[in-house]
Amino acid sequence: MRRIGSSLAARFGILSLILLLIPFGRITLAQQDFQLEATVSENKIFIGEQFNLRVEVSGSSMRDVSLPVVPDIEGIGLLSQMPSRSSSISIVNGRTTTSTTYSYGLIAREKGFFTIPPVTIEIDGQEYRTESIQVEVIEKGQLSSDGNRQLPEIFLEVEIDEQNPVPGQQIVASVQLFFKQGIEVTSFQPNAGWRTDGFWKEELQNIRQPQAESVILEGVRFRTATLIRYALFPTRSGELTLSEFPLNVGIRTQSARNDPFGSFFGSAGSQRRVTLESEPITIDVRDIPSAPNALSMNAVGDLSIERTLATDNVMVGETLELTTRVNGEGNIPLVRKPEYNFPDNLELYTPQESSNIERRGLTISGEKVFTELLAPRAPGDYEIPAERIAVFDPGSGNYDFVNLPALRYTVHPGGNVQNAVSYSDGSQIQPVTGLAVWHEATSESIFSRFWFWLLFIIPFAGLIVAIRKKRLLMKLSTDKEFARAHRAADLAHERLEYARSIVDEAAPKEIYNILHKALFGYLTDKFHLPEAGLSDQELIQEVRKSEIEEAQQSQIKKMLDKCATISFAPSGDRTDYRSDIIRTEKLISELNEQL
Amino acid sequence: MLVPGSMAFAQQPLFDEANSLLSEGNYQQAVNMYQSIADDGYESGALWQNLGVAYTRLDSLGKAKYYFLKAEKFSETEQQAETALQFINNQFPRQSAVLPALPWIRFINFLSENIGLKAIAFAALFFLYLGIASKIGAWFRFDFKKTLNYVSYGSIIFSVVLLICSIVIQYQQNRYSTGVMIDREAPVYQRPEDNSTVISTAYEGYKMQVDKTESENQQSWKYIRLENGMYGWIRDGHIMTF
Repeated sequence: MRRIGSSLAARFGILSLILLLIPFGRITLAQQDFQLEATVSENKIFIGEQFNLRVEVSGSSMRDVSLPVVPDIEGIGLLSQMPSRSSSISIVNGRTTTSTTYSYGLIAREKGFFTIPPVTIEIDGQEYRTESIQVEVIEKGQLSSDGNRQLPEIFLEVEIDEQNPVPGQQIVASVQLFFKQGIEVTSFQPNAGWRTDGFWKEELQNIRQPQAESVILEGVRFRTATLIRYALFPTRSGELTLSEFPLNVGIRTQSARNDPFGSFFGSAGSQRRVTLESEPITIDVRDIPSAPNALSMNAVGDLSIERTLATDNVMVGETLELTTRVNGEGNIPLVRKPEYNFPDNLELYTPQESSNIERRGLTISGEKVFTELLAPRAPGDYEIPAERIAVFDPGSGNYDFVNLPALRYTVHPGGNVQNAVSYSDGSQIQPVTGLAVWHEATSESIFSRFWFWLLFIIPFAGLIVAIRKKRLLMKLSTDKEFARAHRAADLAHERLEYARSIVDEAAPKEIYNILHKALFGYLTDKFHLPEAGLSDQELIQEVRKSEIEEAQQSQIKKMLDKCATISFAPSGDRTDYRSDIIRTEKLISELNEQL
Repeated sequence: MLVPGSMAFAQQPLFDEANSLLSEGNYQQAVNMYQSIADDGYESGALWQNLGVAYTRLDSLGKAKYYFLKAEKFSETEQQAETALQFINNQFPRQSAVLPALPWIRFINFLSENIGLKAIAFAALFFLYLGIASKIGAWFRFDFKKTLNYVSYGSIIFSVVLLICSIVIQYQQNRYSTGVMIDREAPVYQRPEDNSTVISTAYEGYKMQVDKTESENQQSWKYIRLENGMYGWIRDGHIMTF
């Protein structure tokens, strides 16, 4: 319902009004201790729908009031020239208020915007006029531009007044109930479970009795009322979600349409309870810019800050009380204690904080007080440096700065000054003098050093060698043929050494016999052939079958032939013998590489 | 690693000069000179101890505690540093509640502080050599085979345990370091943002564990674990870390 104005002296012209109001303005207003207003039951009306025009005169005493004169209204018809009249008297705290109300029935006839002209009324013989009222007449069933969704008979919405706040900025979340004509709301009770993660929440105390208003949604008339309002303060940036708001509502279906919400806890009828939930809301909380060169208290809003020291003269051991007071409208509950740069020689005790928060109206206001207890440890003159505190103003999007002046205090020696000084300078801790043991500062890890891993690998390498050796010994002891082949070269070398040792004194036959034995024995050992009972020819045939190269094969044959020939027809001198020993030795070495 | 004579003595005159400044009461100049020695890449228990003393005289007890903790790690100044730490800790108006560490963390800390990573790694190597040598011996000396096998398996198992311990210590050292609060107090946030929820307040002298891995991607912030077991983010200017 819309209040639209109060009366003015209508009979007097502008000039006489000015002349009278200047010297006697206060008297005139004091004398005019009544109020005249005209209201309509709906501002938006369907074609053919009835609505009421009420003209109310209220004041401290009953007055002589004439019938109001309602002029012709374009597009709207007056159902009866005779209004219904009602009078009331109320006495509150000894103060009497009387009220006379005339109610006219009107009917909307044409679509469009229309003006109800001022209504004229005579009070105590003087004529007064109300202000004009704008109304809109629409066609029934006319849909709004956002689609033609079917709205339920009663539903709940949470409306917020700011979609992109910054952390610490207050936003107001209003719990709005919508219900159709004919439904009467008798009670409501919020349920637990409204999650507001990332917000500091305070319920505002500005709604005593919800007032219903009429709205047209999707071409249908609804009544709406704000039930509860909350002040929310985001505590961090990013996307934050307000969960579904759960509400228990007691309703009564009623055919009467003129007293929908005014009859809270009102008339009789069959009642039922419904549980409603609003849609969840996502709010994108912007990052707050950082405050340059200033101390942050996480303060957002219109806040004033002051800092005081209880006394500026103390004794050592006594305490100084530093109070920081934050006042005003804003995120009082979230304001943090400022981190001052205190001078040295101060002991800090646990700070206390208290707050007084005012929740009336649409903003949270109040005061927060931080009290810090400081105990000086040494005498002297000290200064708590000046500070510049940043307070973010969401309106302008900038920081306001509050300059706190420096605070000075003097600490006088106390009874326990000696102890205090010795504690403050730590004189019982003495420095180390003389030759120091120096180390190279290194942060390199032992695991990142090459030599460590080398040392780590060496035993495993030794282990592998040992395993091979073990296997060899094992095979030598169990596999005779392998042992023969393995020892063949060594045995041949032993025989050749023996031949070399006797080359100067022994007969050629004996020397070549040993050479033959060395070569023949080496080959039979390698080919796993019996040494006895095998002719040179048979051995050469075995050699040809083997992988020994042609050159070595012919050398073997040649040497074996020579050994056989020399046994029967010795020839040559000692030099030839030595040469043959060397040649045989070389041949065995070459064969050893191939076998 | 011990530095040979000439290199060690190169630091000594500066150190002596800084000591003179300290005894004359020029604490800040003494601090600067001690710091220049440290900046040259040298350290000693005496250097850290005297830096701690200088900061105590300057009434910067958080920094003093940091240097005494460093001095405590050197055998030559361990006892003096412990005494100084006892004194310093009594000076802090606030003491943190200390949540006892888990047994295995206590064990690893004990090894790290009392034996040292290098010693454990070398011990692991020694027992590895002993174990493998014993095993090889057992293969070729049949008369001592049983004894050598026992020695071998025992040594190798011990070596593996020591190696695992040294790897864990190295991991701990790489990932975590000790930090000391040097400012009067600072908020500890839930997230590395000034507007985040404050979960605790750290006061001067508080010791904390700094998670270097977690802090790597956050400039000017350190992820810490306070001694009372709470985790959070703190501006790195408020703390000094080892």
